[in-house]
Amino acid sequence: MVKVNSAIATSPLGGAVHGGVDKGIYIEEVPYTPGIDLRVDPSSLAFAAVNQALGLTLNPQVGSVVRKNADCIVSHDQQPDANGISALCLGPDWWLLTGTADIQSLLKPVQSAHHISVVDVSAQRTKLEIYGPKVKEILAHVWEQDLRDANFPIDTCTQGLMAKSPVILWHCCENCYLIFVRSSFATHLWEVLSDSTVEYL
Amino acid sequence: MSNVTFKFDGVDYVGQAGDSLAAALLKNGVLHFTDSTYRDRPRGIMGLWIDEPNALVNIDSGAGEPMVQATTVEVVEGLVARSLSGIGDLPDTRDLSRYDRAYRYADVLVVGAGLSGLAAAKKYADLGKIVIIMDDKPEVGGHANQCGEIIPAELMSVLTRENVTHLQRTTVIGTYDQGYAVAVERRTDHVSSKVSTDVARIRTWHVRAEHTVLATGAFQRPLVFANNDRPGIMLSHAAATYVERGVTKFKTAVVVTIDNQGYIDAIRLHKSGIRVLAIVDVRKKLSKASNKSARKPAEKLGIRIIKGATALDTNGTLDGILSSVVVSDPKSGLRETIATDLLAISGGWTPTVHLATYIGIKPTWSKKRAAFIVNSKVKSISTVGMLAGDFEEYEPAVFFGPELDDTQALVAYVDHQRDATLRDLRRAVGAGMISIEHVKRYTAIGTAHDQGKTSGTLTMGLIGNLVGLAPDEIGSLTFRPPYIAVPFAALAGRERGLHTEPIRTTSIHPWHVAAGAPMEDVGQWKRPWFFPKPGEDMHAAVLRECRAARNGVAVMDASTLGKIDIQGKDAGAFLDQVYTNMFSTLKVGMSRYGLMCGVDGMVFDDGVTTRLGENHWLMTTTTGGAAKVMDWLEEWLQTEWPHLEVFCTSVTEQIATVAIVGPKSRELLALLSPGLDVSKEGFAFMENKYADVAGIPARIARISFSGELAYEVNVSAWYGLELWNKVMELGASLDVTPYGTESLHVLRAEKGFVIVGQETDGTQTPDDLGMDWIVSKKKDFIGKRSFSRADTSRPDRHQLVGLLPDTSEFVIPEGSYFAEIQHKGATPPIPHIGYVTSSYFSGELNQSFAMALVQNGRARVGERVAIGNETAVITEPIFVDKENVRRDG
Amino acid sequence: MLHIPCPYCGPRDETEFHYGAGANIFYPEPTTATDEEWSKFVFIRENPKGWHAERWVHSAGCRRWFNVWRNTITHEFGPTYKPFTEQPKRPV
Repeated sequence: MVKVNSAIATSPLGGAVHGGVDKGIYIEEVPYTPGIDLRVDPSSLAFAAVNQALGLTLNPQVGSVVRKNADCIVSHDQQPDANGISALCLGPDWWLLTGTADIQSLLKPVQSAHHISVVDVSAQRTKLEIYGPKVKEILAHVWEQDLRDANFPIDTCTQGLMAKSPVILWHCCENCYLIFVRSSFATHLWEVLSDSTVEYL
Repeated sequence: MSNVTFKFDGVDYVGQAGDSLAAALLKNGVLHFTDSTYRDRPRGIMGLWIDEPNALVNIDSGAGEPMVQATTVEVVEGLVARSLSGIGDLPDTRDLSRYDRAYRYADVLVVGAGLSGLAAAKKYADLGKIVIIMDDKPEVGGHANQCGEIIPAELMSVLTRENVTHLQRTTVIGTYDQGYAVAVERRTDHVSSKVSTDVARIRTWHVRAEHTVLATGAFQRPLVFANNDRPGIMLSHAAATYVERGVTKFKTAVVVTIDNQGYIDAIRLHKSGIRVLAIVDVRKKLSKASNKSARKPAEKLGIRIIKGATALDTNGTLDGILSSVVVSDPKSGLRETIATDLLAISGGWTPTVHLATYIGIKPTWSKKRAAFIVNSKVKSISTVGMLAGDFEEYEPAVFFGPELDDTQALVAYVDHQRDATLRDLRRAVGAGMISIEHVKRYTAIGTAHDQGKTSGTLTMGLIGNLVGLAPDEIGSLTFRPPYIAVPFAALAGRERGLHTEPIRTTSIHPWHVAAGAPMEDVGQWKRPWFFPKPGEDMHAAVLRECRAARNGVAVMDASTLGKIDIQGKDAGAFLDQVYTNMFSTLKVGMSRYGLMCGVDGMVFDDGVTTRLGENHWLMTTTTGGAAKVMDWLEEWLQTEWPHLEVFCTSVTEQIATVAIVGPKSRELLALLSPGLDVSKEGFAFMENKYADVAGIPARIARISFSGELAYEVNVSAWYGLELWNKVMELGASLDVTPYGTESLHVLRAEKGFVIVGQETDGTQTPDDLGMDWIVSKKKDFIGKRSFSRADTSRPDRHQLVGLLPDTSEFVIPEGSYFAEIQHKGATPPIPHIGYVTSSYFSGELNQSFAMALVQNGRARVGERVAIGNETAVITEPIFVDKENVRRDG
Repeated sequence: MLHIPCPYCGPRDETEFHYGAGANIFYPEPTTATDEEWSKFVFIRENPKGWHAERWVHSAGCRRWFNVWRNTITHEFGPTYKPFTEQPKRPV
């Protein structure tokens, strides 16, 4: 897994924070989040090989999320589990894998034997965490898709355009969403999201 | 009820908070509100809500708003308004109010919170559905509320249930397919007259509902008779409501009616202390039910009923204000003039059908109700209340006004805002028009700010009378969103100014900003245009930057280029199809420039693609073409060649790229990556090497877009800024010069390299561009078949050439057309033979130059052409280093 | 705006998609196609009033191409079908 050299790395938003946990809405850039774009055909033998290498069973239903050792972090004092993997299904043969495990190394042997695609996209997107009791209302200013839990429950993900920016949205736990936004759009999205909180802070 | 002070037409008034401006003015005795747009007729307030045709105002306080109906403005402290004669002014200052947008999903959307809307909301809320109920007025309860009735508690309590969202002052402005509706909520104007910057003044709601209930009620319409437009003439329901709520201007009233509503309002007026002198009912005999519910109660109060008669004309004071009404019995011919302050007209209820018509539901004519009503056959839409015709018991007559002679018809107003009269209607019909759509456009009836709320059905009925057809045989009422006028700013919401579109930036952008580089828009990206030193203009900066690139070392942020990671054993074969040239034979570690065509054989993108491994490639595309090319690749892989083992992944932002350009680039690279073999023999043109550059893991490609010796250093975008900083630091001793997009363009144009989207517009083949060399003769590829089409192989196609103006300082404006030399200085029209695609001043040549597409271009090399009064000579499209020796350094 | 039924993601706003014109357009073998066959493929598409089988790609989502019956008058959507599967009957 590509480990970030934080001495010389920069992230689009510099770890910016907006609002506060006590203020009803909290937004934070969680920079240098690992990301691997995986392509594998679920009807192929490669699929089983990938699952075995990762130690989980990928779900090819678009929008599903499968986790291994990767519970949501509740407070900033908490450290994430080691060797964690979350797999977000973006397409019938396409997943975003993220987590603390060294995913690229795990998949290297599968790559040499099977037709799969493994691409490091850790810098392609940056991750925002948005959390608070009014989070659905605030997101609904910039997100056209249906945020009601019946339609978008916990541990589902979706792709779309948030304030015209391509994002992956992951409903990761109660009143908490993770937004993976394409890095070049991050500043714009951050400004628009912060602005949406004006009447809620 | 607190008092507020407001200004109207320069005069200070006191009003009650919660009153409309119209009500407040009436309470202050203002009858003559304004003069009509075209005929200067004195006019007064006629209606209660958005049906009001006369009382238009300009709001000058707060954000300012032109052309609002005074009946919809709530008085607040500090409100400043002035009356309009139909046309307002746009404010000349920016509207700094905050506007925003919100998306919502629901099981049921109920439009209208009158009694029937509330009942519908209750029905669905009781079933546990998620309900949104919207009403455009300040108060819940529709007509019942306007009549002073108490809304039952069991209905009011629905509004605060957990599964119900209630939005008041919220107008649904459009209904669309699939249960989609757009509404505007006015949130601050009723609270304060100041500009609201922290709270959204208007919130635009975008709602999707499985089921929509339209409970939009109805508006009253007036009658058409002579001088029916004086101040003092009002719709009866409006008049009764104003009087009940404290307007004391009127002492006497005459009610002219065609239905039972007139009686209801007459009794309301009577109970408020007005002397109702007569109810003039065009209906002689009523049904037993109507007699019981309407006529008898009025008679019991001692109100005189004149049966079988109607208003024919009115008289006015010297100022044109109503003084008396002329009542006439058309059968007997008897007339009577009754002096009165107030003339209240009940011309019938016109259901508010607009939202239904937006989604294609056609209203139907109901003779029994003398109205167009809506009964929806669409499963996902239902209509309730007056919209659905729930006013049968008022037994209206199908009557729109008495017979009028020409003189009377000239002052019998159908559309008050347009000053359109019965005479105009007769003229339209006389000219042969029958359809409402024709008449509407001929007379302008229904096209003003009130959008014909009071005139629509009247017009259809009157045309019907003229030509002997029923109102529904005239055509059907079609309306289009928005239902009311909406500020553009409300629709834009937060997508204004810098947030209209995303601004995309690279990881190195902060350095460019700090360096003071002006930015160029490249699609959604901001790219540094040039890096001026103090005192430099663009011309000077570009000369310096290009000189550095050709004589020293210059660097550029090339991170915006599209990048696609391609993996799979069939990737090479796939690229052979996608590009015009061969890629499957490319060695691992080498890069190659490729050209892409559509199936029509026209160039649509280009870029350098590198073979990173046996089955691993990295494609680059133009900055603006990245998304388009990704779609294109996926289209072929998914819909035509799914058997190919190829996967594509976008990595445009994963990688930051710094181009190091110029004869001294080798030296700089050596400083950045000691230990890397940067010799001419050790690092070949188009070769790739992996090494640490400034301590950062990098892939270095020896690629050149300038014709000079050059290297592109690719690193994770996390380290883009660090790389750039180190390049500047270590390059200082070599006077490293950052350059922007302007110099980038000049350098490549001096070498004759095309830019897709600049030299191309989708109608150029590779051959047109002189790039036959890149078209493989050995294989088929996407688009090749089109080269042999008759039009694609025409001999006189436009071909890429160079131009050197004879006046060396004359930089031909890009896009200029030019003609053969004999047309120099000629007056248009003149036949042109080509146009300029790129044009710059070259420091290297010390003169201007251009690239152009010219008919039969290659055959014309050496010819002179005319651009207005200037001339230029056609050359081969390459100007510097024609032998291409500089790229090896 | 209009919601288009992506067979993988469900109904989504039209701004997430790009249009791909008519479905079931036969891509002729370029090396043997006549000029007429080739021109027909490149330039000619049906433009019916009513039900139209067409292609869409969910660019801002799963990036999958799919086919769907859409009524050009009423904007109703009929059944979707994936590439290389049998076209469902034209809806009534």
